[in-house]
Parts: sequence; structure tokens; C-alpha cells
Amino acid sequence: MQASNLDYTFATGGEYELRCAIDLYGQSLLRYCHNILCDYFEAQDVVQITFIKAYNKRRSFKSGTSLSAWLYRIAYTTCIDSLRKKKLLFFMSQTNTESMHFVHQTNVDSKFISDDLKAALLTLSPAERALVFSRVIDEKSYADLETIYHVSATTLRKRYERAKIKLSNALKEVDSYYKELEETK
Amino acid sequence: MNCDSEEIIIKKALNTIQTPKYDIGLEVEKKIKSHKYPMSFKKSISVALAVCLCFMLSVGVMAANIPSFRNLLSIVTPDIALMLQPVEISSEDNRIKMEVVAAMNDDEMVVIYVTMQDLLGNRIDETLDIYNYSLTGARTFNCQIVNYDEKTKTATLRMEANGGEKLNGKKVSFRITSFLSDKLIFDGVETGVNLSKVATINDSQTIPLDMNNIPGGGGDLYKELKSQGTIKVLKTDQLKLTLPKINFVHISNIGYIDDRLHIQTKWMGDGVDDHGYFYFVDNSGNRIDIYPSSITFGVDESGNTNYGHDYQEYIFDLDNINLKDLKLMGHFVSNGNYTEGDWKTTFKIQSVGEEKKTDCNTKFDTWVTNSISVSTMGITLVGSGETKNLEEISISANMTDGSVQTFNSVRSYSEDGKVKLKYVSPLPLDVSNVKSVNVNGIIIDKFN
Repeated sequence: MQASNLDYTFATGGEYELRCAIDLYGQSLLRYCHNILCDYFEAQDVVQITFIKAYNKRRSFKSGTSLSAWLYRIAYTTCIDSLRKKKLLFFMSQTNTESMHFVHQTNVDSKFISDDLKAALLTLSPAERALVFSRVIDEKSYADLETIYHVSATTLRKRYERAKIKLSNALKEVDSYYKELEETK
Repeated sequence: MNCDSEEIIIKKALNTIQTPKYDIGLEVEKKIKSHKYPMSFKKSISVALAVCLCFMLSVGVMAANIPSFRNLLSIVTPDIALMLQPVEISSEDNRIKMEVVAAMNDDEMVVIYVTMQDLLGNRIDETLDIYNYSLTGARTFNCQIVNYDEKTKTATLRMEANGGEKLNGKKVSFRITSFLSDKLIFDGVETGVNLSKVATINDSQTIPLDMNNIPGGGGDLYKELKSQGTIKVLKTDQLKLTLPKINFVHISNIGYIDDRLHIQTKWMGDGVDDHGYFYFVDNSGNRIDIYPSSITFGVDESGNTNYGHDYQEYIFDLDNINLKDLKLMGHFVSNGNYTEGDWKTTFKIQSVGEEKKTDCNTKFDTWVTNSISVSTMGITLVGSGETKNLEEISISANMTDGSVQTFNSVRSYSEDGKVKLKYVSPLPLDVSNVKSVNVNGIIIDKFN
């Protein structure tokens, strides 16, 4: 099923429409969440929750609008919820900075994201990571981003410019990474 | 989109992130159908608060809402209960339900508590023995039954897996594909063999066995026999000495070869894991500490040895041991049921505590340590070489309150010249209060 058709049928549809939505947007949402969370397995969980939420609340989706933007909105808020939850659990169970370092380390999975890149990404806030990914990789327009983040295009533009500089500086600080990318430029 | 130089750098960097595909649809549909959704934020807050209360009050608070976890807490000691993380994920096949109830782990060792329940009949009993199983990411395994509830026909097992790397925070899959039950144990079996009449076997009554073409063996002599390449074993089926009440094995020959007592057995039963051993007792019934080595083999139609499991020959080195007044006894085990299926669960393991690690360089006779880490579950030494004598290593943890915590067991494993020794603590180790670790008198106190 085509994306444009799904924009009209999802709200009144069932499991078939859900499967179509997953086929169309599943992998790109997984990448998006992975980028925000910097944790592949966490991203898997969040994407599953996103589609379950979307399915359960499909009646509230405004037929004819962008299903993609609606799903991205759900995925974004679910990522933020997941990170809040992690933070809350962390503060409940850890009391010193040594432990904080440990928790940070154990969440690292260098198999999917190099440690250097992850360190650079973590200099951004989750909202900034989401925005940078949406612009640079998904190449979403500011009009789409307004729908996803519920923030005006002007504000998003400013935020994006700041985040972009922050991330590129962080990448430049990671010597090996920067050199390697420079060579392939 | 026209990219500026910064965007080009960012794009290239972000494109290096690997996000492997997986069947999202399958997982989502499964959860929608089973109404077992991943935790929402609100729900997770509730769980988080429950965790908080557990920390503040007791493990029992959480247990009140989680029946299988609560059941487990009544089985394990309070110290172990403090370390356990509830998992509660189940899998059902062949009308048998497997549930991973709880787990505890650090970066290279996992202990999981699993229940097996027969929803149909009596295939699960107190003799349950998990035969084929695996846990992704770990190398050595041990699985033992710790409880059996007759009313619910539920067995609780403790599975320990060691040898992993960076296990903490990982998703792992635990899988069982077969198990044994209805185990019959025959101990103190009188063989009726008159040891004083056992004859010395001449070469014509032996057959050669290629030690490189057998399924395996064990015991102190095994390495020596293996190094010989070809050894002499008794000719098969020269006698048939049955054992009382046992129909799955009998003695098929006995005699001395090169001053060593050989007892050959023939295994006839259907059990996939029938096994046993022989031992000696004196006139008062006391066991004598003489342990046999054993070799498993088969024979072809001409009576020549080949690869197989039909015969097991036990070999005793009896130097300076007088068998007069000793009795030959046996211990044999057979399993009535062998059940196959596919029970698989995937879950994330998350350590309950912190872990400290440091590099260190301590030399032992045959190996050198490179690093030492301390976790709630114990102390791990990682090094290179070959560990031969574990008794040479004495380890304890000095706590900030002046007390000393010792360790009651050690697991060792080697791979590619890398050695890992895990000293497991009988009590949870309070890592934040570990002042130093004492390894053979050397104090290590600078942890990262």
C-alpha cells in the first residue's frame, strides 16, 4: 500500500494497515530512535511501543494528514519518555558519581555506534539529536518538523543551527573520527 | 538538500551507525495479540516506584504483585533475593511452560532462575535434568534443580552461565531444547564380583583401541592413555554379569591388563544419558578413595573396536592397594523420560549493582593476571597463561568497615590463552564498600 493511501485508511483500518505502516516506516523509525537513544535494543522497544500506541489510538489520527509525521511524533515522545524513565531509575538506585560513570558505560554498545561517535552525540540533548537526524538524514522539511516537534519553524531553525555546530565541533574533537571523515570528503 | 561542510561531516558520521533490521511487525503483532505491551512511561513509573519501595522497605513489596517472583523468593536465601532482578518471561511448547523468573548478573556471569511446569502430565518431576540448553553470549554452563512443587508440578532450576563479555545491559536468549526426567538412581549396587579371583588377561584376550577414534572418557589416567595412541582393552562380551534390578547395563568382561583392573560394561538401555561408575567398600562398608578412569567405545560386527557408545571400560590403577577384603560396588543412573521441545525467551539482563575494575599484574606459577574486577556477585581475575593449581590463589575483599569477605567457590575457564577466574561470593558483595582486594597478600586498592 502506498503512503498516501495509508494516510487515509490507517484511522479506520486494522492489522493490515498496521502491517503496511510498519513496512513503510518501521526501519526509518528504528534508525531515528536509535540515533536519539544511542541504544539499539532500547530503540527496538521504543519502536514497538510506537506502533502499538499508534494502533491503539488510530481513531485519533486525523485522516488525510501525514501518518509519517504522526508516527514520528509518537516515536519522539516515546524516546523522551524512555530516557526520563532511565534517568529516574538511575537516581533511585545510584548515589555517587562513580556509579554514574558505571551506568553510562554499561549502556554503551559499541557494536552499533562507535564509542567516539556516541560520545559526540551525547554532547547534544535528546531533542537536538532528534532534530539533527530529522534534518540531515531524513531531510525533513521544517513544515514537517513543526508537526513532529510542535515547535515553530523559526525556533526549530535556530535550534538546528546551534545543534549542528555543537555536534560538528564535538566530532572534530574526536581526532581519529574527524581525520577519517576529512579523508573521505 | 544542499549540505554545508558541517552537515557533510555529520551525515557521514551518522551514516556509520548500524541499525540492523529486525521483524518489527512480528513483535508488534505478537504483543498486540497477547496484550503484553512493552512498558509505557506511566507503567514504568509505577514499576520504578515499586523498585524504589523495594530498596527502601524490602524485596517483599515487589514480590506481592509478582507471583512467580514471590514464589522464588520463598525458595532462595534473603541474600540472594536482594540480588535478583525479576524477569518473568515465559515460553510454552508441547504443553510444558518454561518461565525465566529472575536473573542476577555482572559483566561476565549470569545466574537465572527458571521454572518448568508440565501443564499436561508428569514429565516434570524432582529428578528433572536439563539436557540441551543455551544462553547467548556465555560459554560455560551449569544447571541444577533447586526446588520441586508437587502440587503445581513445577520445578525451579538455577542456571549459571560464565565466560561472557560485557553481558550487563545485553539482551540474551535462554533456550531449552530437551530435558530428562523420571530419573532412576541405583546406589550401593552389589556387583557380586570376587575381586580375589579376577584374572590377569594375556594379550590374546585383549583388543586394540584407537584412542583417537572414541567419543571420550575421563579420569586421571585418560590423558596418559590418550597419549599412547592405541591401548589394549578387554575383548568384549566375554561374560555377562548382570547387576541386581538393573536392566540397562551389565558387566561384559573384567580382568587385569598391565597391572590395572579393567571392568568392561555394556550399555543396553534406551536412556540418552544412562551412566554410572564403580567403587570399592571395605568390610565396614566405608568407601575407599580409588577413582577409576573410563573410556567409551563401540565394536563392529567382527569384534574390532570402533567409534561408539555401547561399551564403557573402567580402569583402576591399583598400585600398592590390596583388594583383599574389599567389595566392588556400583552406582548407576538411568532416565525414564527424554522430552524434546523448544522453549525460548529473550530478555535483558541488568546488574543490580556497580562494578569496579582495575589493571593489575600479578604473577603466578603458570599465568599472569592483567585485570581484576569487583561486582556484587564476586571478584573476577582475567589474565593469560594456564591455571593449573587454583589452590595457590587466595582471594578476599577488605571492606571499609574493617571486615573481610571471603569467597566459597571459584569457576575457571580458559580460551585462546586467556584465563578467567571467577570467585563467587556467598553473600552479595557491597562494591561501594570494598576498600581493597587481597590476592595472595598483594593489596589492590586502586579501582576505576
